[in-house]
Amino acid sequence: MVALRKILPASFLAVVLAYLYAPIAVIVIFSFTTSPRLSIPIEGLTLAWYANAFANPLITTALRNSLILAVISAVLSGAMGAAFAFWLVTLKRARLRATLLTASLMPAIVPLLVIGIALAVFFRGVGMQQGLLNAAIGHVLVSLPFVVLTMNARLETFDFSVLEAARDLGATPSRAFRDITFPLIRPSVIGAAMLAAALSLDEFVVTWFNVGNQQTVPVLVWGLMRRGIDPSINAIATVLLSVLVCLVVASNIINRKKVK
Amino acid sequence: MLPAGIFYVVFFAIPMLCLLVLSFWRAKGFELIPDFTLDNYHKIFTSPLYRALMLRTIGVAFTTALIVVPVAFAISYVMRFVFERRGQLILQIILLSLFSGYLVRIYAWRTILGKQGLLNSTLQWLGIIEQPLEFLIYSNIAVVITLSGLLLPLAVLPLYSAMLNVSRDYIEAARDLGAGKLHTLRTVLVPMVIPGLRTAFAFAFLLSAGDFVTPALVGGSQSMLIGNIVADQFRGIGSNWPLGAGMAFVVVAVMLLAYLTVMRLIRWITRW
Amino acid sequence: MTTAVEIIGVRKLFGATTALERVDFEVGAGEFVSLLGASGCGKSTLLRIIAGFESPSEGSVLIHGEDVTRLPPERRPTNLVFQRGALFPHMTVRENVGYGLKVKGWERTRINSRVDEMLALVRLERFGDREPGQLSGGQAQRVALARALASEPQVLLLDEPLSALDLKLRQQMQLELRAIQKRLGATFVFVTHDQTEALVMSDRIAIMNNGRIVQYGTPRDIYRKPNSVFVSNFIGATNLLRGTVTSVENGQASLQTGSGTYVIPAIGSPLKAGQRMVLSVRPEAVRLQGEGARVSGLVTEIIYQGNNIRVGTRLDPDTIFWAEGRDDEFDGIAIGDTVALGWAEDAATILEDDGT
Repeated sequence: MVALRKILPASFLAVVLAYLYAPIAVIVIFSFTTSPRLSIPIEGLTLAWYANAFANPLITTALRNSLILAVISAVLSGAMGAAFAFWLVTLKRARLRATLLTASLMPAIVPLLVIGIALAVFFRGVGMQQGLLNAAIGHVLVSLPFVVLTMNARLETFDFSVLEAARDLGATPSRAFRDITFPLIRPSVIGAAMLAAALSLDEFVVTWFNVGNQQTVPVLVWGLMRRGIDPSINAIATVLLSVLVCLVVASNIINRKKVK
Repeated sequence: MLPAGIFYVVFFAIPMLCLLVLSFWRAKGFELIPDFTLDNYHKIFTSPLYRALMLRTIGVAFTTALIVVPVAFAISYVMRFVFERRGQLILQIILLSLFSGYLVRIYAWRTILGKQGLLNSTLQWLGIIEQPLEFLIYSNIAVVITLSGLLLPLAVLPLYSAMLNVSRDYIEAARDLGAGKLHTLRTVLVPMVIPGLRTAFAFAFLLSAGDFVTPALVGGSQSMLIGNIVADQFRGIGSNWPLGAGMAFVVVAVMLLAYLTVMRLIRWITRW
Repeated sequence: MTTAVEIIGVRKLFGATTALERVDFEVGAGEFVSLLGASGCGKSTLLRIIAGFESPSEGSVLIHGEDVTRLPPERRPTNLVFQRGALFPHMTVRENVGYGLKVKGWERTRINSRVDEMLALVRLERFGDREPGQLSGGQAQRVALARALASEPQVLLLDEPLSALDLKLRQQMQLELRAIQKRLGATFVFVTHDQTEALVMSDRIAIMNNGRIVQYGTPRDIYRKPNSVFVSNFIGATNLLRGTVTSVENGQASLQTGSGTYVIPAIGSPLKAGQRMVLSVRPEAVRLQGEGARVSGLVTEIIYQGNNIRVGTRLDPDTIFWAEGRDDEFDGIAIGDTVALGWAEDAATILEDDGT
């Protein structure tokens, strides 16, 4: 029941949500319509654009590369970010901790364009040919801040006395990590890793400057977009956004399962 | 700590340094020649084209921020003080839109705003207009509309978190002491969420200034921004890496300066 | 009595601040000792040094004669009950209690019987399969106790384990803890900021202030013979009359205060004229007195406390002197009455004025 005094705010909220979701709705709807032009009224429904999209010989390579990058980002960012956040919260000096946290978030604040070209310059300087490996490093760099941020939020409420309790009861530090710490933070690490995977699947800017002639899904989509209106873009986009939404929702649910 | 720390230094700090060093080099064809020259910077500051692009970028970014921040503030207010407990769920829904594909959302706006796009064809079908509205696409308006949609969720996040820390008691105390609704907003709520406002503005302003995909897809040649030129120096025909590197630093510096000026201005106004 | 814990010359610095100043301290086997003090006095630091979570900057820690100063917590024969339990949230109550035994490599059947025994000890037999999140505060602390006792530590350390509980439950748990300690004959070192708690449970109390142990003794000694103004103020309520010694004669001294001159015994303490001293009198030792009264004044406060009544008498503009007794003892007294008060000679303590 929406009370009377909530009608105005509710309509405002509805307008904003429509503004955010209209583009997404358009893409999904028009991935199923027969007319290649995006126009009203809709003439008929079809799955042809999906067939068309997956008939593109580049899409298989792009998908494979995107998945490889996503897995690398998930594993490396997840592990490094979690370890870093863990080390961060154990720091005793609050000032140092805050400074390091801010510093670790820098790659999320600097425009992706700048990060992308800086990496391109660096790789050229050390003689690393553009390619998937370079892109992978870029993806890990871009997703690390988000992993650190999520893990930090979780660890701030982590009760470190349970670790002391384990040590007190005779567990060595590594045993305490295995028996207590890891089982307790595992959901957060997995959640953060899935977030990293989602960020990687969607990453375009840094990839574009570093991947060379290789394809990823966003790079392929970019190429198709530049060529003009092609309804198979809608089909690929719909698939991509379904995967992203699933990953993010799952990551959220896993993260939400907090330990009392 | 060590692996992430090393990673940050090697793949973030050092590349940024490389970019800075490169901005003092020269390019000869596709070759990079080590040097210490200010030619790149000289070119950037004297070229009327770059200056025009820089000004347009600031204008577009500022307009975007001016739309995004008040809307984000209002939406956060509604989430926090009207829908209260359901605010968290609404936040999740708003943030989820970030993960519908960055390129996809920009492309979607092109299909909506295009000459024969959804908006024009709908309006024509309804008989409201006869000729398509041409200003909708390949214009600054298209860039601002698209960027606002991209950045709104990012601005809601800090503002809503800041408002979560403002207890309803403060608002009620102010009202109880006789302050009107607007007065309460200005003298109690806004000062308490200043850090959130600052972050929201930073996101909206800095990130829209650094975006080159949006102007490339919906801005066309009429509404290029400085980011497009920078990107072209690295992946275009006749690219010039040292010049691009210099531009990148100038862009970041100018935007930072513009941001700090605005912040100063806001502080000056709120003290009023 | 053999010594269970021995602390020799332990200092602890955190950066520039000193948490502990050369503490010497020992606990006998089978003793229940409380470390009592306000927050920041160093009591928790001392406990954590015994447990092995902090290492002393100087000095050493011995447990049953063995130097454990350099041993990590997992290799010390001590176990700690944490302030908020610190139960492992992803394990059941049984798994929590059995964790220490599992780490020690006991076999499953032996662990099981020991866990049963421990749960019976804390009367939680039917709660073995619960998760810590499903326990009340009191139950959680009992599980924490069972877990810490399961591997039969030579010394059990307790870090304000009852402070998060409400008053009724806390009082009940105090008696329970005390009973368990006596039954097992174990050595307990208990940290608290609650003086009543310390008085109820302890064989001996060590009162700490500013990183030092200022007095160490039985509850009765500490209450009746505080060795400083700080201790007499900290334990229970007291009336303090500050003044200067004017004369010392025949084992008697005169103390001149703002509200009059008092004759005090000077035997055993080398009092000299001109010394600043404080006379401490417990309110419950103060009686309405016709003859031999020591002070008199105007009644300004009457506080009814149910079982007791407290009467405040203004001696001079800065001093309210409190008397406490059963309701009927002060029958008929009203605010504005002038009363004469007295106390037995041995009920007063003469202390050096240390400015606290």
